[in-house]
Amino acid sequence: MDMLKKALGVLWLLAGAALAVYLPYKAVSELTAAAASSEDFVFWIVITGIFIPISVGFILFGFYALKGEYDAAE
Amino acid sequence: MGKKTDKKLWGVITASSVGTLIEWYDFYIFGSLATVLSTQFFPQENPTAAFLSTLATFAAGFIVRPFGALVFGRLGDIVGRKYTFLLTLILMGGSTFAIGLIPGFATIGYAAPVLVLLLRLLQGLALGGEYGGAATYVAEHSPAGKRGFYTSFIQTTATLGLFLSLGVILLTRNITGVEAFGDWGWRIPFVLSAVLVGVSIFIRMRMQESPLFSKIKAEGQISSNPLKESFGKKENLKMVLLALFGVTAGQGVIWYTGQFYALSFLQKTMNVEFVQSNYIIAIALLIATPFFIIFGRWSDKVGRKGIMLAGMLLGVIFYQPIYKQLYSLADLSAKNELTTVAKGPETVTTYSDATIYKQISTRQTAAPVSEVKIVREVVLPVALFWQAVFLIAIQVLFVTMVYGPIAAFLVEIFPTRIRYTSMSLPYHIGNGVFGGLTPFIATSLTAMPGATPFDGLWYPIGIAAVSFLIGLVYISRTTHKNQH
Repeated sequence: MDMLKKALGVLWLLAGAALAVYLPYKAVSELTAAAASSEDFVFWIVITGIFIPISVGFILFGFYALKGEYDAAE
Repeated sequence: MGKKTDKKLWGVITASSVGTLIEWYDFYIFGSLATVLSTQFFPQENPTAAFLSTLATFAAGFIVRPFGALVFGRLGDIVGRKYTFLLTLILMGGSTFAIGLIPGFATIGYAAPVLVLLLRLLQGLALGGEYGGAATYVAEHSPAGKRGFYTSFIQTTATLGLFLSLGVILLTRNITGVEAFGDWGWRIPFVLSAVLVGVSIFIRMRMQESPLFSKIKAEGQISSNPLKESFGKKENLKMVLLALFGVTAGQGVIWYTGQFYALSFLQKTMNVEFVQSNYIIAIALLIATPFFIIFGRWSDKVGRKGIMLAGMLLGVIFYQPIYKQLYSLADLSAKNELTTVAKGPETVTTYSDATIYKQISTRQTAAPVSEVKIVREVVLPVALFWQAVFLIAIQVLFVTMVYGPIAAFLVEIFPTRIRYTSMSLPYHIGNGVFGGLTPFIATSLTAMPGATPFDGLWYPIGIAAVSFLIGLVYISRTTHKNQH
């Protein structure tokens, strides 16, 4: 089980990094579109503002899992 | 446990639950009355007002709630649970009451939406601090082997708060009439909050501080910096992250899908008539609510993890079939048309299974280009109405599985000295952000080219699946190391 926890840790780490890159990219592409409204600005600023720290948390969670912080011995 | 202690414990549960229920009621009436409030304070033809409206919707739920968890969590771990959640109650009640008194945009212009926005932010802040306080307060009064049961009463409050808000709104609308409700009747549910909060403050004032907090205070073990200790130390931070990704994120999406997305699906995708759709949700909530207590109690015997993860897994497996079945109840293309009667702008079609479909067309002459607005309404016959209730009640049952034991779970994974801060943040990110975004993300997924009405469900299914996997692999018996 400890091996599985560590292996999945890599997955969480990569998923968190992918989200941290994808969200700002998506926000910029949505907000530079001709049809973007002020409401879109609020929505995407809130989404990126709140989800980037969450994705950093997910990366950290993956890192801890990879380092064995959640292993049975801990 | 002696009779006197038992009586005291039930007093603690009542005082905490009533206050938390009122806070949820206050938070929900704003959302439930969004349409009326937008005409009063945020006219959509005015871009600035519309911008403030969007800010009020998103900021209150997604930014201010976690921020409130940090502010009041810290206060609760330093000053104490009792006074902190008394403060959040006053803040919430005062803001709600004040919203009910603000003159509309037509009377005081931009001051109206700005004031409403500020008060809505205060509501979000207060809600962020309330839940952790109430759950911690009850759990710290409860014996270790019965925390799931006693805290489950706190867990019923969010659903009962939604039920109460729907009930008060429907009753007020019924008494005042639809037109008067739109003019001034909508203020009644807001002003009524002052009475409810007044009663709750009176009850809470008579309660004593949590025994566990009093003990560590007497021993001089109170944390001087709960934020640093909660999120700056690896030993605790890793548990905060596990609570967020392994439990509360999944709980949040299951909670919002079963109650809010279900209502949105009934009204917007299936076009079920406003009052009937609210009745469907209200009855389903009422049927399933006792299961919060049943699963909370059961978690004391079999453990929290299995029940919460089972609730997530059932959502992952059954959301698609449940929503497909729900959709079929109002799918007019599969029904036999009997009669169609056109009367002015209204066309009424009756189907062989007694379903009634109304279509009302109105020409919007005020718009820059004259356009026809079509309102579609489906009224389900009794048999299909109860089938819809059943399908929603199943979803609320999943909610009770993940939500019933969660307060006890969160309390038990963090130590007393930083418990309020540590449990509040993952709860409000999980419930407020992951859960609160469900209607928006699910709706955007269904609006994508080529999407079906069920594609929105991939968001809650995906989050619940990841949360289930993390919970299954990483949560162990040693996670609950702070049971005493």
